[in-house]
Amino acid sequence: MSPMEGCPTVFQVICSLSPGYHQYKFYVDGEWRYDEHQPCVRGNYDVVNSVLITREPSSMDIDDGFNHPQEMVTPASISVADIDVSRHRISTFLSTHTAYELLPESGKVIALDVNLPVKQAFHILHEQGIPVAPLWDFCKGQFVGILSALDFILILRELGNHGSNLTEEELETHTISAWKEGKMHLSRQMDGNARSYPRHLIHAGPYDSLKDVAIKILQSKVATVPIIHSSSQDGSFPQILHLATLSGILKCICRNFKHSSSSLPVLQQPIYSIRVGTWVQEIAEVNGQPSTMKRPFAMLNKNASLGDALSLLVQAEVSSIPIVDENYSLVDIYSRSDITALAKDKAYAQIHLDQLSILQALQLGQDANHTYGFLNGQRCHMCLRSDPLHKVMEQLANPGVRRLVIVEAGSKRVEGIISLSDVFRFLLGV
Amino acid sequence: MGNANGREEGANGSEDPLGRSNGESCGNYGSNSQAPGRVPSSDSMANSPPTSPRRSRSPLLFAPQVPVAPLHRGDGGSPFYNQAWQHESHGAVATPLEQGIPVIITWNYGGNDVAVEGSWDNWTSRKTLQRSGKDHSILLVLPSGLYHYKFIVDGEWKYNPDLPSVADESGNVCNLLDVHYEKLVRLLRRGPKSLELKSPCLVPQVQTLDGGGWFWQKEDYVPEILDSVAEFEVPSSPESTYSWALPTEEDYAKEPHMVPPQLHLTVLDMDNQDEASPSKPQHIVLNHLFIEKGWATQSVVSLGLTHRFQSKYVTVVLYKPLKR
Repeated sequence: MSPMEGCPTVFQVICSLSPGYHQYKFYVDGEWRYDEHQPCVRGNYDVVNSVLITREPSSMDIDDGFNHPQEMVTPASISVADIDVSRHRISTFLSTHTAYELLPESGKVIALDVNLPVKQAFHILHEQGIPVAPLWDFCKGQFVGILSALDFILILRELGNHGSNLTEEELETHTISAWKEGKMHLSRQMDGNARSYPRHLIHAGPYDSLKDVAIKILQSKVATVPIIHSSSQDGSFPQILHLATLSGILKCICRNFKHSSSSLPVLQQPIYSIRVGTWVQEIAEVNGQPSTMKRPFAMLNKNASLGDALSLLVQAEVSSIPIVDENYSLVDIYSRSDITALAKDKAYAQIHLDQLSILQALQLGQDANHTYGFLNGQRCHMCLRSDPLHKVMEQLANPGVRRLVIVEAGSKRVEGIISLSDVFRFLLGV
Repeated sequence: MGNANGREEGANGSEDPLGRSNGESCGNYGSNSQAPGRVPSSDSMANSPPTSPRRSRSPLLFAPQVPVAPLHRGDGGSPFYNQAWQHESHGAVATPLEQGIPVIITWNYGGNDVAVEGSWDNWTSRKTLQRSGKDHSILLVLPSGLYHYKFIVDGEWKYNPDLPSVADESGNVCNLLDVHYEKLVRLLRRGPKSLELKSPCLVPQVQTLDGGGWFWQKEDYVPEILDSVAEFEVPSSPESTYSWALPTEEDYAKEPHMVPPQLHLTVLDMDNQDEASPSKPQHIVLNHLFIEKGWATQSVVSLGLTHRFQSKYVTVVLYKPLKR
């Protein structure tokens, strides 16, 4: 194999092969090696790389050397045993590490007093560029809840739907605690037994295992779990240490297994074949997922109004909605946390939800100076259906990236969404 | 006590009392059974009895104050070693090692000439151990890693069965030495007192220099109980502080003292964008409550506090409404 021009560390060779299933291995400086980033199987010669050559050799992409073609006739199937092995290894890893490892060396947590007016609270969230904040009650001396973007959305909808039965003065001083009371009352009225908002704060301690923290997050369907430590037995004088999220845990996993990716065979599989994530109707059916089980995939046209977006966010119980054009190709993405952009210049007081289009609302957020949710200046993070799971995990491990939109290469047609909780449900087998 | 027994009883003394005292010394790295200021013997050898029923104890080699010329040392060992003894006189915590870690290799099975060869220099040089009675030992300074070594006792190749060993295909057995370098920090200890350790100490395979005020622990650990460390003994109060009068009205009218400049170095001002986590705060700003400037005129005030949790630092900023 000869080195590529301009890139002396990459080697290439062109071989003509008959269609079929081939295995290959590299002989590097006297040592037999295989490429971990390409599909590999364990065979008679230990681990080898494998490639499936389709019947039309002309469609092969030979730009970057000996690469397997993107369109595989059949997805490489992975045995159930391999999935179990990977799940078991990850489970062991998570059980043996504690939440203490999630703490950064020098971290910052912003907390709000529960008697703050709601308006001030959202200003603070927006200025500090944080999506959620724990709530502290001075009288009780405890952390009692979390204020998140969903609260803001519900408040806006309340104001929009019922007009404002609070006077201007009351609106200014409407405290978070009053709002939380009202919310509980509302939810009891509306759902009855379905989806009840948790009454007490879901939290974890610094010595809880990562597995417990992950399962707590998944089961309570929250995004963050505060890590609270209390040095006394009865839990008084709690100290908040960190807000744990699934992305922090995923980062730990990626860092640990980065150099031993062969121990987790499922990571090499494309997400399409292992059925992680939520897919649009057509693809879900093709893939063999029963369409009755899947919820309808929530998407919005770019001309939709903000009011529609907020209603959809609440009803579908999703945290973000891709915005598409007529051909279903991705334009942008609207997530719950984007609502705090409305706090800028008190825009929420002046707008009517149904008159503002989503794109305009997003424009407000673009001007904000905080960088939450941005990665390399990009707002919506995408991936392909053929991307292997480890690549998706590495992208999701970046803080602020909570979901990836699965698009078709080229046309950017939306095919699905894969989020942190999807990945964790798959890895933990929950 | 173990000393006396070892010397008097010589080889193969009664197992039980030796066994027990061994056990005590083995189990507790901190205890130093020697009285302070004990004059070391010319051989400067510890009194490890010839047959240790358990893993061999790291011998207590050197009394604190007397710098003893190091034993046969590898290259680069000498300058490090002397420098380290000078540090001890300042009572400061020595900087973490970058190069080598001193380890002791002992041979307790008698013999006249005992030497050791090892993979640290690819079995090229043979180092003779210093003898004290039935025991032989040598101090080596090695970078971290896993080494094989073997003893040459009176011309014969031998290995120490009590220590970790490994056999190769042809049945030759070598001893294994695993030298750890994982953020090791040396703390000084003087006299008979010991530092209470909360976190576990090293793996027992590392034979380290124990006497004379050195032992190892992980850098993460910040000692909680400092009472038993001699340098941290509380000085007696000066007499003048007990005669101050209670503050009067005019004292309250004065301006408060200036804030010490170090307290301005908080992490609270820093604008942390996404993942640029703030740098480690200085310990001086820990456990001080800060309030933002110009708070008197606002309706919402922010309070900040930085505290340490084990070896990580957490800054909490709380926003509180002010009642008017």
